[in-house]
Amino acid sequence: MHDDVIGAAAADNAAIDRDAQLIALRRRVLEWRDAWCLDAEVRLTALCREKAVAVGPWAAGLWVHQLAAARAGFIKYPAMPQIVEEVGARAEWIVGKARVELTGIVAHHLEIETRAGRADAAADTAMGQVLAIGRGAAPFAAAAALLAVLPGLATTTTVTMFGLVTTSTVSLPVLAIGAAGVGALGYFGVINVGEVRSGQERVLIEAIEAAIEARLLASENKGTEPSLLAQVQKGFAAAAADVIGRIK
Amino acid sequence: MSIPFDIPAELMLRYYAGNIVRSGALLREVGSGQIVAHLQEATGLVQMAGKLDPFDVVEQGIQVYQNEQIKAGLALVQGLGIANLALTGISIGVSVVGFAIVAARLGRIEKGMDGLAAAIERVSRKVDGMRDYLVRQELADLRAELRRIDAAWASSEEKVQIGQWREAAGRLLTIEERFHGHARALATAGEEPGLRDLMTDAYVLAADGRRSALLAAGDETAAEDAGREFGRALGSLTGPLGTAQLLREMMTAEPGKGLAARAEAVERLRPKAEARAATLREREEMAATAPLTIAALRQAGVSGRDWLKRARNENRAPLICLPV
Repeated sequence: MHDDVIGAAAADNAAIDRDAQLIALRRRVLEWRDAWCLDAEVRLTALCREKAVAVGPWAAGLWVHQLAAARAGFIKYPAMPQIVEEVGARAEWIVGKARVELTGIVAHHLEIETRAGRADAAADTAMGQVLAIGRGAAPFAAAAALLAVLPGLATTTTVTMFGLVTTSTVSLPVLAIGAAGVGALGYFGVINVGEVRSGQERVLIEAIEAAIEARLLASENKGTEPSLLAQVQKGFAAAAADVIGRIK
Repeated sequence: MSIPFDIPAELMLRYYAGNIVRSGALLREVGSGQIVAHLQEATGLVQMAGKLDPFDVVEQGIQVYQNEQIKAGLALVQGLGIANLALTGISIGVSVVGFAIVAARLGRIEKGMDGLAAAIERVSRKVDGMRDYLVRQELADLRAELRRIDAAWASSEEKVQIGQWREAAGRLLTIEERFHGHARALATAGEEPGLRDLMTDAYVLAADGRRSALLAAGDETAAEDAGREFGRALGSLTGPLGTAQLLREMMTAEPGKGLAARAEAVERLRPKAEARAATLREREEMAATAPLTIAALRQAGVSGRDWLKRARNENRAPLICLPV
């Protein structure tokens, strides 16, 4: 067989190998996105659930008129800022771990391309931007530096996340019966105060849980800021799309 | 050109040793990423899937394997991690399933539509062309073309065969576009995930069938191009569907109240969402890698039609293989 024919066949093989490598990279990146979106969903939901357990004892310690005032938003659940802070910190930890893993995926891809002698200057420069920042620094520092390269993850910076949740007031829905109304009914003995109390407590707990869910976990809040979890997941999806975009 | 179509034992040894991985319908070296073999489903796999799925065996009267053959074939497909794919109807390589299996898959789509009648009626007001009778007509058209492809294999005249395959490929292009349009419109509108998935399944059957028809007709470049377009379009359609979104769709279907209910639902539905996402990723990868096999066949001087014929005639082994 002539050298030029052999050369053409080798080039064809290299092209097919490269396509296969890019297909595999795409899948790996999507699996990364899927795994970390789910991880965030599971961990943040569990943490919110764990933290919300303390809402019941707090509500049980309120007077009846305070329960109604709390429902109306005049009394804030005191542990809310702490919940927000802890869940935010957990989200930040998850994002950091995910960034490190993504750097590893890209690094592995570039190693294979280089080893196979298929390094493509244009495409690999784009990938290299992701990787170069990741190398030469401690993993978490590298992860932080990646923010500059991956626009998707840049939306979930600590500043953005905490800007969202710390500046937001957790306002509870104002219900039909106000504090004065319940107090008056109880005073005149029209209804059983114990039943009112029990019902009020349950409604208050549900309202606080709903507020936690809306601010931290909800998939979408029409007309309001997206939840912390929604932002993190959107960041993962955007980062995955960004890397996949670079391989085209 | 003589090519040993059985998977070489040496390759399987390297696979089990972890030196080779499967990526879609390809076997690749871990270190270099180089393709060492292309895999293609054979009739044996389709029959095995029928054996694993009692519905198909009963409904289609598929010939049942001898126990030992089943065991050996099962060991291979399980080892390669493709046993589940066969059950979910994902083609490994280019589809070679007979019309009986295709009819069963179409039947499941139609049955799924029966269960979504109210949703289809509601969605039809928002999504153009998403009317029950129209979609059923399109499914009937799809069934007819897939039947044409299968029936052409029985013809003794090559000219007639090629004519039938080309005609089917031409008609399937329109049908494929329609189902793709339905699935995309539903996804964009965020409407009825169940219906969106059924339309995607129908799109996959149409695109898979068209690719197969073009290859059988000897239009290999067109088959490769169609395969690449199929891979891109499917990736664009289902790629955005990640585990978290699938989980949320499942949770929306059974709304609970409060954080306890949410946490419980997340844990309970998580495995189902993970399995569904894994199936989508596998299907995307299979669709994307099949045209690489078509390119490799051309390069190796193997006729696409001969490749499909061999796969269709292979009743014992679940897979045939093109070593590189």
